Amino acid sequence: MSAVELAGLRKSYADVTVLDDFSLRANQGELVTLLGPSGCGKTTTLRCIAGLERAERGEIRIGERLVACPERRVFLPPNRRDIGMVFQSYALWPHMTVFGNVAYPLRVRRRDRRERQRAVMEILAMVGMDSYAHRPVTELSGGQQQRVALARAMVARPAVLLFDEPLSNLDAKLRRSMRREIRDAHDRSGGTSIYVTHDQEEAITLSDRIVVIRGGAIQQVGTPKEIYTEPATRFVADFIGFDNLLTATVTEARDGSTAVKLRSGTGPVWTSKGITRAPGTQVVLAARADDLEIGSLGPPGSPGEAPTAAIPGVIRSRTYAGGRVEYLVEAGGVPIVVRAPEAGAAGSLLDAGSDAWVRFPADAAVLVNDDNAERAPQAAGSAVESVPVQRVT
Amino acid sequence: MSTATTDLRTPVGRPGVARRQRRPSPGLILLCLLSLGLFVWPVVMLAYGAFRTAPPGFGHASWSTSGFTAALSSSAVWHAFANSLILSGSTVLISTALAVYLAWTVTRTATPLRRIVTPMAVLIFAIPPLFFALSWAMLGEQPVGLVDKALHAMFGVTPLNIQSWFGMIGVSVLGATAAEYLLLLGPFLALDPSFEEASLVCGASRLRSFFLIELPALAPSVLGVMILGFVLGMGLLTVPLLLGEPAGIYVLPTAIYRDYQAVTPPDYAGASTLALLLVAMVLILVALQTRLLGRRSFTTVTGKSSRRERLDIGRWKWLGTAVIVIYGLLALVLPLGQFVLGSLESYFGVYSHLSLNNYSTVLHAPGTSSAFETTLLVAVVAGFSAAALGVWVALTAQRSTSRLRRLPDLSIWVLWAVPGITLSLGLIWAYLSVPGLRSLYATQWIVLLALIVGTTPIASRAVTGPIGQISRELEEAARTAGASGFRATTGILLRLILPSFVVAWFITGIVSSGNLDIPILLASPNNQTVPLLAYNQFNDGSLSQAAATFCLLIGIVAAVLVLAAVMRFVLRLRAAGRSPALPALRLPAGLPGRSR
Repeated sequence: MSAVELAGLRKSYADVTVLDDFSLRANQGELVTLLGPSGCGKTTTLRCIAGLERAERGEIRIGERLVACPERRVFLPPNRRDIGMVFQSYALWPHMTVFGNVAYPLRVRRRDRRERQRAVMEILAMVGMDSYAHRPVTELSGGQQQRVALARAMVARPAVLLFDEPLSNLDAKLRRSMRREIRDAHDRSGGTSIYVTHDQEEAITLSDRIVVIRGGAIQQVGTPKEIYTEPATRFVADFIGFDNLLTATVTEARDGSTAVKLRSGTGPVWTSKGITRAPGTQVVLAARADDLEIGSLGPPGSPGEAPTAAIPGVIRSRTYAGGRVEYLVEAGGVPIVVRAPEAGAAGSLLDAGSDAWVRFPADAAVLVNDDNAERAPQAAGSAVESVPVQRVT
Repeated sequence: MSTATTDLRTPVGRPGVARRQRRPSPGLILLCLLSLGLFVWPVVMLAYGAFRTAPPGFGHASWSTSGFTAALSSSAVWHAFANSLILSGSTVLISTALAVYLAWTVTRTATPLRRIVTPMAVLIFAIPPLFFALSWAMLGEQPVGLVDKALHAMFGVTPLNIQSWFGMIGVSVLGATAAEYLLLLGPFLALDPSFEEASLVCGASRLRSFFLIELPALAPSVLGVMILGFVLGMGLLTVPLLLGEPAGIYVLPTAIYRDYQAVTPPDYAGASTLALLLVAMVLILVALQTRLLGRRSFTTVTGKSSRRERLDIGRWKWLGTAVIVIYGLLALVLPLGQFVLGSLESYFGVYSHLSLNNYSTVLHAPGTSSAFETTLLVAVVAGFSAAALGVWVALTAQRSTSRLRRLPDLSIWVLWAVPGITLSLGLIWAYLSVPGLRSLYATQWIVLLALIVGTTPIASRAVTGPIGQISRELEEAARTAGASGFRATTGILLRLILPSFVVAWFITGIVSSGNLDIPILLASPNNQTVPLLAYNQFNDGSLSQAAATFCLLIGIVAAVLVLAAVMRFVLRLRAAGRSPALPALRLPAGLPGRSR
């Protein structure tokens, strides 16, 4: 009914291109999250959908309606797009009460007073703010303002709900509970929602689908599970919280599984997840620190003998990480982060300076494209390895 | 691009930072005494003067209510009072509507010529009000003024008599609009753009969003500007003096002036009583405002601001351009043109034989050079002192821990209740009553002192906001970095205050040099300032010479403005954004309901 569709969107400010040939479809009833670092163009995309910015090229459709298309000189102003939006600053009007703020969308839609009263109180009850209806909004706490902003966005039952980092001004605990409320609200509205955030946890727990954006271009689109377990690129893996991004070379590929060797020459590490490439190709082995195994390395034949396919290394540091212990292991010049239970495979805590082995269990790691090598100039700061990436010829 | 909008109502003490009560320091005690003496004493003496039979300081005066009751039972007084209300009220209504329209046009629409509005307003604000009164008196002078001649040529008859209600209100509106526009520009720019965006997204059109959201959200600022405009309008002397009095229209300030100066013997008690009426009026207004707004203060929430799309209002934008052009013509081009032309005429109204004779006459007249010297002294010294006092008071209010820290600030507040000539009257009473100061009477020093007092409220407003924005942590960081207290204050705090100080000095200097209300009562013929000189020349019928005098003053002010703009540009180039931007004019905090 009201899918949101963007096709070939282009937007630039002065000489900076924010979006280039950006296409995306959010289906009716879906909650799609635009996830990316600040300045990646996600908010610009949202504001283009709202009609608060004008793209230079491309099409935006809400449902069957074409709402923006510069080539065809179509531009529907925000007030005629049938949308609701929650702003980062909430943007509650200080000269109105809670009721006045929430009733406003109905007022401008010329609904009659009785219906207005009923709809506003109903939606306020839904967000648990009905007892605050006649308070000035300036007297509310951050979380309460957020609820009012949500109620105001939803009260007129718009076809599309837009969220611009709505939780970024709240503290961590409140953020978690508001996340659930927003998801509930979306489900109840039955409409399409587009949600912008830079918080990967928020995106994963909230969305039906996630769109990871970088530099105005889509990196990956997928369900939270897909994004979380099988990032498509090094950037997505890094952004979604993969601790280890290790440059590796494919040595063997068979039956859908691929073996890679780390830059230090250690390996092989086998995995069936991620991309498959011909032997000799440089890829990135991405792994979460929690999925790796670690143990004390003894001489061969002793109880401390490394299991097969383990990588030997030296423990550089040990940090307590709340229930788990985080080790930084250096394996042949490559730093690897491992988080193990306090009394895990190692049996006891390993000391810094001692020899250890690290093992990648089957399918613990994902092979991703080394997008840093492709777009090296822009990748500064996101490399985990301290050693410059080398291209294998 | 994100703009951080800062709340002017910087809390004096942040929660969590314990504020220990300390004994007032000697500096604070000195400042308190100084503020009480400079700012509160004149107001007290004004009330005192209403019940004395002779001015304070002159012996054998006694208490009496006769002057007070005589003034209050005179129908002429109440007539003047009503006239004041009409003049000020209608001026404020028209000029505020115009100022809001201009501010909206400039900040929200793509109207052609919108960029010239702010420079124009600054120029109009910098030109003394006396100039407008004088030039419009000349423009409408029958049958020789420029406008009068033009209208005569067009219609055969002259529909316009500038010395009338119409002229008084019209000329007041021209000046008031510029000042109100400058005061409204800040709030219009600071208003969180997401307020409007939220309204658009809710389904309201842009026009509707403006009337339902933006204007109400700006209501406290607009109302504050209106009240301030009304107060200043009630105290306005020059326009009614030049355009109203000849037509027999008296308002309170002109009535006070007449009681004091134009009748012999001066009716001291009567003048004081009229002044008290004015003060009472102001107090009622402020009370009314507090009641209307209550504690409603619309904090602008800092939002992610983006490049706001300017509103495309189609053909209507040409209306905006037309308004800008007409306003510029009426408020700047015509008055300036008339002045320049008038100054070149050998006899006012005779358009042939233009020459520079008036300038040489004026320059060779004995009073001229001394008038320019006095004016320069006043602009530099009074401006500097007022700015320094303003900084001192603002720093004390925000940084001191003593219970007395707000006292100096509050004393300055008292002055807003005594607009224009009322203050001059209070100052006379105050200085005459102090033996040492009495000997200063009729010297340039008393004019200087009075102008310092008169302009400190403006300076205080210009520096309070910027100083409030300088985080205490900046000094604390300097201290923890190893700087001594003195070094942290001079190297960090004072350095950061410097730009706002210079702006305050600049504004108060310009206001002082153009002020007529204070010199007209306090200066003697030997130490008159340029505005007073020009006024006297005008009164003597030497219109062309008055024009020449004023052209010289405006030339100097314009040169200073240009110099300042060039300096600012050079500094900008050198510092490339390092120094804080020049603060905009700020509303007096209490009037617009932004009081703490």
